[in-house]
Amino acid sequence: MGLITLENVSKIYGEDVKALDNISLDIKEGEWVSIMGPSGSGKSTMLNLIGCMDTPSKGVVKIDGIDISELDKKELTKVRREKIGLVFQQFHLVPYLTAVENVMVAQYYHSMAEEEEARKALERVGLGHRGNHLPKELSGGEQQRVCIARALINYPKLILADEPTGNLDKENENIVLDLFNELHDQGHTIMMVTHDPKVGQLAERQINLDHGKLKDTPQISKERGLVS
Amino acid sequence: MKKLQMFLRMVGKAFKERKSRVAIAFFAIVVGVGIIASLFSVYYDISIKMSEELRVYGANLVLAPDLQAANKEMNIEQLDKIVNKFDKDKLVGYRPNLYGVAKAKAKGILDVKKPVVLVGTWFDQVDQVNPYWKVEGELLANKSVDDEVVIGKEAAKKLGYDVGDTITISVEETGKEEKLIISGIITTGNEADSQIFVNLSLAQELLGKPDKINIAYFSVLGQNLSSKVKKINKTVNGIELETIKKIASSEGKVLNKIKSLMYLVVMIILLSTLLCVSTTMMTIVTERKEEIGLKKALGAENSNIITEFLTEAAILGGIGGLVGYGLGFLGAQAIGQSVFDSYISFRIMIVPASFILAVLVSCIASIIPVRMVVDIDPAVVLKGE
Amino acid sequence: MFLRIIRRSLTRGLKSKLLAIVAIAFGASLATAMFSVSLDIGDKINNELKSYGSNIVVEPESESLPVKVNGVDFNPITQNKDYIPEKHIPKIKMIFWRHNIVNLAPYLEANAQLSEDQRVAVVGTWFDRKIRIPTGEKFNFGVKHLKSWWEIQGDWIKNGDNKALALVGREVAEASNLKPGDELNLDFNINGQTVNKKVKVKGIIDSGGKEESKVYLPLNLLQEITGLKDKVAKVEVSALTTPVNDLARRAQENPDALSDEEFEKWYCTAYVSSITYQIEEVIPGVVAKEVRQIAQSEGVILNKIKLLMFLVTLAALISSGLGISSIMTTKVLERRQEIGLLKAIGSSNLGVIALFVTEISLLGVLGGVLGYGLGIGFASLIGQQVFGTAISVKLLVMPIILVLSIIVALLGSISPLRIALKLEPAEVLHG
Repeated sequence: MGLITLENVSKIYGEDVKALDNISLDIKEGEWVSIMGPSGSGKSTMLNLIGCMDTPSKGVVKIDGIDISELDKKELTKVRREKIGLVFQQFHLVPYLTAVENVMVAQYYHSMAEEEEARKALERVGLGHRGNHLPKELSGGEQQRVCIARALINYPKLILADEPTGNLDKENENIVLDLFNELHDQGHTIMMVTHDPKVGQLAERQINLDHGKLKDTPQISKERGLVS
Repeated sequence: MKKLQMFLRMVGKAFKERKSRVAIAFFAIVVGVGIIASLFSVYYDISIKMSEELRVYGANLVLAPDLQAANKEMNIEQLDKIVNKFDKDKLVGYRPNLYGVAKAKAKGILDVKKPVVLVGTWFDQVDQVNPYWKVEGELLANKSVDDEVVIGKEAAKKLGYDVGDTITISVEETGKEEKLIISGIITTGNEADSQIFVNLSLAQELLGKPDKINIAYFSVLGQNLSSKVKKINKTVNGIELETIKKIASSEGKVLNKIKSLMYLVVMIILLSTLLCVSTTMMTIVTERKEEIGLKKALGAENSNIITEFLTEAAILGGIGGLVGYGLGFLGAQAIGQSVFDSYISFRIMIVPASFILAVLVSCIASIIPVRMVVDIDPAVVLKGE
Repeated sequence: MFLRIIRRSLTRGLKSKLLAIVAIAFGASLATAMFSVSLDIGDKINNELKSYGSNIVVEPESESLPVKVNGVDFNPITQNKDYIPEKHIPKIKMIFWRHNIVNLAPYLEANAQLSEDQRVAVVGTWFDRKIRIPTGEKFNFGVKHLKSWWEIQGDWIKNGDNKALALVGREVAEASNLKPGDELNLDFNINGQTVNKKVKVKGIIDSGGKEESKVYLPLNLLQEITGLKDKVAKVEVSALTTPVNDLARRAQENPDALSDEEFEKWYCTAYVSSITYQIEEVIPGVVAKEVRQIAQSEGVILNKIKLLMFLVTLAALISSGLGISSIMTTKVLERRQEIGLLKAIGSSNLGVIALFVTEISLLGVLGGVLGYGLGIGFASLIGQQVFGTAISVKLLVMPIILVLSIIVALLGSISPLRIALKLEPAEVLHG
């Protein structure tokens, strides 16, 4: 029984647009999984479901043993808050809050806003000295690291990253991917949506989606390392 | 505590960030509340102000001897008694009249004497009791002038006199005669146009009726005059105070119309303030859609975000309300000055009222925007396919 | 293509624009209501102020001075008095400003003995007389309408032509202990001869004025008694007037001193002085005077209330204008992406602006028309509530409101449109 379980999940929009078509999936704790596929393959839909932002039309989605299929919006929010740390392609930092405050926002909605802890989280991503800067004063890579610090702050079961390197140049991409590697080594479960095969290969397991269906899962790449 | 701190920090920074947008919302609230506050101030004062204005119609009470009195005359002391029964600040003015028939020499033609109505009165009260008199020349300066006269326009025309001329007045019954200088000619459009006016004391002497008057006119502020009049009438003998219904009852009608008009107008302005604040709050929500989506994705519940928004709205409303009140007070004074030529009185009640109103208005106005918040999908932060 | 985009955007996107249209319509309706009320308030208050009674008296030109104390005439010369022929009275309703003549009543006065030592003024008048003017229109004129503040204990005399009926002033009634239904004996002294007339008291007048010491008879009856057939001594007229200004004041001094143009302007404005002038024109040998107590005061009050309404309307316009302009801000902001897209596919800034300006103007027109309709409703509601009559619909308001809605909607769109145009297309599409 894994951390995330999808059993025969379908998501149908409107009359007959099947974004996801009868998908079953199991992700274990500590695993790094990348989800790949062309546009329209259902990546985002899957992300929405696992990120507790939507519920499936059919089937069961379980996160840390909780079946979210029947939950209402409020309960979904609670699961998301407790179990999931989100990292976005566009970083999505609140523009008028400093780096440390942006981390504290996540703490605030979760439980308590502790500035000390937020600073420690920033130190972990190597940004201890940038805590009082506004997002616009940070580089793209730094912003993404703030975003990762924010995702980590509440000790989530799963880090859900949506094209985390999509908006970064090579150098920053490497820094961020290194950080993900580190997190994986520390035992975090990571699920990353990407269309970049090189980034995808870093994961232990790649899930390929096409027209809402799973394509035959490729081998788990044993050799992990930085692609430079 | 720390949670509250963070909350305040977020709200505070959100204000700082969106200075221009917040400024517009603030402006909207200030303008709205300002208008409402000024109209409320005016509304509360409008009865008093308008009833002061309506005093341009002149006297609304008349004091006359009752039917039993001989010659329809009363003593001047009786007038004083009545005057003392009114509050000083409610009594705009009062003017006693003594009437008699006299003869006036027509100008130029020798020994042609025409009968005229001679009226003794107090000229210093004319401005208050008969503000509509049009005076050419001047009224008599004080109550002791005894060699001047004011004549009606018709009388002047038919007797052939002008301001500055000397007119001879005689009373047959007493055989007295006086040469008087015409200091002013009045136009009124009523019977006063054909009468001639002298100081009360002189008229009393000429007519041989010391201390007597026939009638007195009062211009009095306030509602429920008729019950006040009834009360006063119970305390006096031989004289009777009466409301001049033509003026008093019309005044009530007109005042009521104006009050209910103002009431509806205040309601309309309240609605347009709501519209204004509400659309501004909608703009703020629209602008911050992504931020709201993000917060939701990070685990904020609708209630968290709504609290943040309502707090922002309430703070905006509260401060806007106070500033708006200040402005509104000034606005009310502007209205008071330009419309009524007087200040609108300060009412402490309106301060908390406009504060609460402003907070309420901005919160009510936020209902639609808040519903927009609920509809925002946290997934907006994810990259769409 | 341009039109096609507009059409699509209006038909497909109508739901999202509904909010904007509703907001514009709402704002425009409030503005319309205030505007209409404000424009009509003069007439409405003017009508209300008519309850103060007549503002014009018409008297025959005369050399003699009236010498009356308490309504009793002390003038020794009663012969050769001048009168106005009753048949001329309807002409007052035919002057240039005939529609502003609200009501009128003629009076004829005589003295009578109630008893040995009790003299009383007797007035003949119209109570509620239906008259027909040569144009064929019919009106109900008389003191019943003119003296709205009279309280009658008993009944009004309805159509008392020649009937021996009387309304008696309260003082007279108290002095002679009269009640409605009693008979009243009047002795007139006509040219040295005593004429006796018995009349039935129909009602007692409580007015708080000089009327309380008089007796009122139907005009024809008193004319017959006094032998003054077809004659009246005075006519009181109640007319809707415009507050006097400088021109009116100068005209009042001497109408002949005005230039032709000024004269025309004065003549064609309902000043009390132009109305009196016109009355003097149609009836020869009379003087029409303004009753300053009523006419002047009316002007003062009217001006105050108009000013008050003007300020308040301005306030309403500002606040609904702000509302409309901020909803437009919201709506343009929401479409940043679309603007980015249009630019990305090659539209110039001007192209985007043209598109939006057209669309917003259409929204403004749509909202404005809806709002105008709604506002007229609001206005008539206020009219009914406050004045008991509908506010007259002024077509002038329509274009003003439309133009204002469009301008305000556009003003609100300027700043977000500028922001959106400044952004790089790629930035917008990505963000």
